Amino acid sequence: MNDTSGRSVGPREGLGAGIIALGILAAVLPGVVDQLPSVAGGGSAAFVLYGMNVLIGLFVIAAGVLSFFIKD
Amino acid sequence: MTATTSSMGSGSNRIPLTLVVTLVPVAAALNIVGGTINGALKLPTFLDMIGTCVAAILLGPWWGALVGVITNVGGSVINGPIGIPFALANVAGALVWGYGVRSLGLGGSTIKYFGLNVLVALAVSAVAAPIVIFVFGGATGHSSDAITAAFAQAGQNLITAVFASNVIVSLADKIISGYVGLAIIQALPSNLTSGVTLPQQQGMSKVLVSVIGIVIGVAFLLVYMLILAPKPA
Repeated sequence: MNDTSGRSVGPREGLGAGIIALGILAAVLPGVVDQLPSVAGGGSAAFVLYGMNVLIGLFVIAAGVLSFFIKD
Repeated sequence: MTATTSSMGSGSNRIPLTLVVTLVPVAAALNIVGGTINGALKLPTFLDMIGTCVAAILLGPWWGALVGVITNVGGSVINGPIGIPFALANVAGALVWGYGVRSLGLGGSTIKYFGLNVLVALAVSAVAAPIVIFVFGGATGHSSDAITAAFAQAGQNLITAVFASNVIVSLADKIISGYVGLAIIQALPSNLTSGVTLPQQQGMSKVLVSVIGIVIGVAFLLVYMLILAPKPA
């Protein structure tokens, strides 16, 4: 699957893309958290934002740890 | 049933950027279309991770994670922001599918691949159930809420009921998604799937493995619908 004519990407770039995705999610969440239909039935907006950011943080930490082991 | 692997070029894991740029939006669109059709038919599944499965296996786990986030954030334009918190469940599924096939060799045989889909279902539920409980208060308006209600009526507390219903629905959903994804990957030209170890068959047997997997997933679903979902009064 080598592309001899154009650019290629490896696992390192893939990890970067994943971190960008988590960044997008972290950036979008505060803007929509109070529009979630459930915030009335579930937790408060601040509590939801706190929990979601903890989850995103765990994924970012996992990505950071994996960056030490990824080889192209 | 054999598994085939071929190395990607000269021992490198690199893939053409053009493939990534093409496949990521297509996979996200596939997810959104699958989820929209599922919602329109009011099925107790999700069907919004088929593209994630394809991208995670073909490109790598973190590209699959990108597809998952694009699906849920982009899909919010159509379905509203209710899906955005579940982007993390999509990410978890992508990581398990991607690392399972590409690093752990869990695509090496039909049995291993089936087990991988079960693992994906458990991982996704582990992320999604707390979101359902703490963000949505236990119900999201999805058809699977009926199964949660059935467990709650049987005397389970909210956390157990949501976890149980999520695992059950997710199991059927991820088995179906995993085998539809396998069928899509096997239909692609072999130079695009080199370096990926998947249950490989010849001729019609190739279709048969995917069909049997999908039938098993649908059978799970029918069992839940017939036995677990409460009957209307």
